[in-house]
Amino acid sequence: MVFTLVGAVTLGNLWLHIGGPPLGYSRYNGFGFSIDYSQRMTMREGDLGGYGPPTDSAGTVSWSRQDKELEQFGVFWVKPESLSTNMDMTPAGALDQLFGYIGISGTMIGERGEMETMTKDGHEVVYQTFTVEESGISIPGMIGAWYCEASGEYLMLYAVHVPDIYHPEIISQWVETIWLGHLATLTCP
Amino acid sequence: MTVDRLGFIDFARGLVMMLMAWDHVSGFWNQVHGGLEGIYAYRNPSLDFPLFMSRFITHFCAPTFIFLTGVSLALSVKKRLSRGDSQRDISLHIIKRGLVLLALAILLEAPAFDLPYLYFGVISCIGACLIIFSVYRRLPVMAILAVSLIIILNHQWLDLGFISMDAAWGHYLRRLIHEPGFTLSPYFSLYPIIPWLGVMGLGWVFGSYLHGIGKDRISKLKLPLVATGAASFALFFVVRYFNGYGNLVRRWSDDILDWLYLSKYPPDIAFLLWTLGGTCLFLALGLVIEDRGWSGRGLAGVVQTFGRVPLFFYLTHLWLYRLRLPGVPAPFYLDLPQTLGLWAVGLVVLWLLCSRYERLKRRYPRFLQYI
Repeated sequence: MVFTLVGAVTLGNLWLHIGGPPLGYSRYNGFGFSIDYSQRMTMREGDLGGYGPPTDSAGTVSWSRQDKELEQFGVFWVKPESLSTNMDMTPAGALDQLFGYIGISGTMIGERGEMETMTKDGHEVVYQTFTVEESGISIPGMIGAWYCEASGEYLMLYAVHVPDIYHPEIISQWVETIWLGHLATLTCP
Repeated sequence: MTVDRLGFIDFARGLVMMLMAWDHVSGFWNQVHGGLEGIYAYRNPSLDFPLFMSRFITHFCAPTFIFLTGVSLALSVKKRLSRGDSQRDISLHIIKRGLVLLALAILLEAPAFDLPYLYFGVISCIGACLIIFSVYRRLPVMAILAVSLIIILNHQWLDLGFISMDAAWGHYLRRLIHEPGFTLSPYFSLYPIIPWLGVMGLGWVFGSYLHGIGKDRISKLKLPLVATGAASFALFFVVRYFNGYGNLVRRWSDDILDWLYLSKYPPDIAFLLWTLGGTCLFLALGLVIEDRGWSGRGLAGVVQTFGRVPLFFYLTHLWLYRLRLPGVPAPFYLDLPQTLGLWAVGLVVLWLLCSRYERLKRRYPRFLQYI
């Protein structure tokens, strides 16, 4: 009797949550993509420069969590018609233009690593490491971009991570793993 | 059937209290001590294997301690009932004990960790669970088993989003119920009530079972306990392998340390499978020691002494190992071997203090009944 009851409640919960985001996570749906994020993170939406609200043409949504550890990740989206016409209409070109926007918004980008490619749900993803320069510390990050035909936009996913903000000299060895984890949940229709 | 004090339970409790002392001495004096598993989604990569494991082995403490609180509570309640105490008196006694724990957490535990007095740690959690148990215990044992298992297997889906965190009371309430964290001072919490109530409930069920069988049958529990512990460990690996249900902290890679980086705050299924599996093995070891006649002698006797006066041990060890006034930071840090040395010396002092306190408690049982 006890085990029947416990089994029924647990299986019922499992069934209710099949296909949903993992435990402790919520799913963001909008602007042509979906991605899971931890419920412990704070979400912010805005335009590429960080001054106004996002639009269907371009924008960003980011999630961050900071106590002793700092983690931030987010997605940029931009339609090709919103890109500067003198830039390459490729994921790599979109990335270059994005770093330009980020520079305008006041974030200091340090080194950008070599661009590499991988495949995600049939899309070719261009990705690279980068650093954000903050108070003399280089915070490592990772970013990747691809073109989503279904939504007709470039999607760019980034992640930065500081394991211990009181010891920022400890360089995160997890940025790539964290980025890949978020990439796995990012889908465009 | 009434059973006297059970040495194997004291042994298991004493063993994890020694591990807990290691965790705290390490936290006080070792700068790179790990912690906050679950509040942090990723393990600290600066912790190498020995440092990571020196924290990991202490995970057995809180679950075993809280489980055995449930066991002892069940045995104590049955004993009081059998000697004719009224239900009302028993409930009042449990409530008083819970309130004493909450007061001690404010007065002695929080300042020992340099945390605000509203910090909800393991002592506060046990105090709150005891107050709940003063009423909850009246349910049939099978109902408590069902509720405990439902809590443990399902609490991960508990959505407290309907309680706004904008107001301080809402923030604190969520921290106390299910969402530990340190984001808004002074509303800090590490041991939320709901999941740990499930663990204490399992202890209550086990204690009720022990009460219902004789000492002879208790000594035959070795094999079932070992089998349960082994099954629990095996299930742990299954849950971690699938990396979904039962894991509040994802396994980000196949690195052994990622397999072992679990959510303690709050405790997820993987964490409880591992730690309560260990509890079963500690209890079985305690039974072996009793069978061999080693109980109360030598090292086993020292461990059992710690286990017989757990609250005194807990409060004393915090301040003994801290070795400085509240608010005073560590003047220097120790490396791992030095910390181990301090731990061992502290245990000797604690054994002397606990032995004396035990004698004192025997002499003044009424006066010292809550500690």
